[in-house]
Amino acid sequence: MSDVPILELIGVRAAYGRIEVLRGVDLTVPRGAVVALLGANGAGKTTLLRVISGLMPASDGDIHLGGVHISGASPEELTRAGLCMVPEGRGVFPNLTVEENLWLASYSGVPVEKILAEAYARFPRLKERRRQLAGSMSGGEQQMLSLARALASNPALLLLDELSMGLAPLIVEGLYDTVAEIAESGVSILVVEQFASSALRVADYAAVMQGGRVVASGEPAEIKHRLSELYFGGAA
Amino acid sequence: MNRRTKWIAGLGAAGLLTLSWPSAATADSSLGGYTADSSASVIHIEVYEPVLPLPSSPQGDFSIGYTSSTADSGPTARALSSYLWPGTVIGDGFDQLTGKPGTSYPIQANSRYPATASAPAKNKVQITDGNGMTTATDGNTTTATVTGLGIAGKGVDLLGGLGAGLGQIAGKAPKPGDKTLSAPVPVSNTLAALVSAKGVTSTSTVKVSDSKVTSTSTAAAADINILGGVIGLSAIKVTNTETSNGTKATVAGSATIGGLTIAGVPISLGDKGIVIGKTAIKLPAIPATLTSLLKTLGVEIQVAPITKKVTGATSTFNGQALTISIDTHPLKDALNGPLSLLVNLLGSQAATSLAPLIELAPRVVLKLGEASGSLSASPAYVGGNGGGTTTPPSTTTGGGGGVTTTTTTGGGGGTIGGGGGLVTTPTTPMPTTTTPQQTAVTPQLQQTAAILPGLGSMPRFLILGALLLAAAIGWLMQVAGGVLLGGTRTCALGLRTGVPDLRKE
Repeated sequence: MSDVPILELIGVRAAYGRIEVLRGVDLTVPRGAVVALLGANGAGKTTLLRVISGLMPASDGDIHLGGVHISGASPEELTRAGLCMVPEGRGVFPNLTVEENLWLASYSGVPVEKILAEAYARFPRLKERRRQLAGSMSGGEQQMLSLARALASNPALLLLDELSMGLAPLIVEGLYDTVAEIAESGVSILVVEQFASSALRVADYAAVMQGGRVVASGEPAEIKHRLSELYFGGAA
Repeated sequence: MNRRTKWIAGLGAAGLLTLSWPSAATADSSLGGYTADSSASVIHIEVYEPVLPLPSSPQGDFSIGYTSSTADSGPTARALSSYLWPGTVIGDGFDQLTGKPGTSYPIQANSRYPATASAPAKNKVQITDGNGMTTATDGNTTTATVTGLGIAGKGVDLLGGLGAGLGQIAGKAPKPGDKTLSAPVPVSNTLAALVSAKGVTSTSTVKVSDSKVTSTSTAAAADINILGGVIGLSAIKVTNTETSNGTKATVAGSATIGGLTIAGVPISLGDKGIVIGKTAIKLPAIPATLTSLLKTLGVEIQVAPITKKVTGATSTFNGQALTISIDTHPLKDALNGPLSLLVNLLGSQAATSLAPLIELAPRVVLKLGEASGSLSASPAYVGGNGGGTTTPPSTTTGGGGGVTTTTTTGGGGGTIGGGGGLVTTPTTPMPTTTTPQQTAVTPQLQQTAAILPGLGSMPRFLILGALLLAAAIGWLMQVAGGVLLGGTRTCALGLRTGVPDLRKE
């Protein structure tokens, strides 16, 4: 495995108009690792994912993918390069069936049969629901569908935004088991999460954001130990 | 093949398909550009009345059996046919004259290219049974036709007879008991006294093919009676055919007159025509009494010259079978005078028929069988041909010449006996190079046409090159925009920029 991190952020800044949300983020995701990015609401976690995936321009700083500077790259280019983001809120098409949602992933050139086979193998529940409208499924099932669709593009770096949002703890645990399985297959994962315990359970590294900066990073056990202090006490 | 390559390949294929597709400007023709028109009328009547406050001469005119076809590169085309055409001013400006926008002169059929609601690609209007007008155009072939049984009076006035025909045009269902006549179109007594005819046919066509433009027109009629039968013609026919291939034009045409009678007496007609009355030419075959009669009536009969003109790729044609000029002052005097020669010869019944003519203007000119046309075409632009074949100026001789004009007058003689004989004007196609001036000037005209690219004939490589140049400029502008906005900011650590394939370690 290469020593070059698959993702490296150096002093990344971004703003919505005059409001600066990211104030110099430094973060590294080693290749094949799961990094949990934790933080309270408004810390800038989702914005950071949008900047990484090209949906929002960085006003300053460097973003390196696989050791290559990618400033100005479009989301399409990054997606083709192997970066995939599962957005907050899942992003499934509620009026299409499960199977039709998966068909949409075939735009990347992967045959539909292969996409369906892999999705149903990883999430047998989706096979049972393949004729059901995605909008009529439970939140956990929708999240499975969203993950399955993301995996159809054969990503090398997966960005997961608030995987646990609106889901029962038991479902969240199941999803993170799947995340661990995905990571074992060699996919690097940056998971943004408010509920730390599940993410830390599968993460190799963790970082905490506060006020648009990464205020702490390290081993999951260490971060877990300092979590209360970082969330409520501040560490800047 | 990645998506970008597929997109570029698709766009390239679409571009090549577009370039190889025949352009609309040239339709199915390889000609660079053309303009052509042809028209024909069986009887064209001109009314000269200087007293009328109209800024034109003649002050009024209308045609019986009028057809017109025009076509231009683009292509655009119009076909017009009218059984009774009151001239362009009234016919096309009918709504302005009546003050009712949206209305149009009713006795006409129109087709246009591109087609419109009022001028569809194919149009057909029937006035009465046996009398109709058709037009059609697809941009390449434009045809207008009038066919019918003619016009006649017989006591049926214009409103009473033709009005019923107009009702059919307007779509009014015939009432039970209505007569459906297969007969000549009834016209006013005044017009019928002036002229009547049977078997009216008029056709004008412009056809654009791959390598040439052809314009043809024909006007024909039978049993024509003028001045209530004082002058009679068994048949007239005028034809015209012009062609141009962009470098050379030809024109051919003829006029045929059959069976001229004056007051029932057969008349011989020579190629110099006959003029009786005010002019001096007097044909021995016409009896003195008839000469006196026509003089009394103020009637002048001429076999009008056919004019043909060819200049390089341009041609014009104008011809009539017979022109009859009627000065109504003598006619009026004759009708009013006691025991005049006219009344003695014609009898009271004919005099009564002629009475409405007193209402006419001082001079009326009847052109029987009229056909005209003009044609011009230029060759398609061919890249590389622009500079090599210019005729040296030294070969140009002569001064201002350069226009080929040949006028053919009359026909080859022949004697018309009663209803049988024919007089035909020469039909030999016009030569295009008969003088030194023509051979010198014509190539220069062609050269000018070749230098100027015709619409739709731009070289393919030029268009393709322009597209590629535009794409390159667009790409450069995108890069420049990225530089200006910081999108391509170089890495602070000196790493290479781009987007790597993350799936490759």
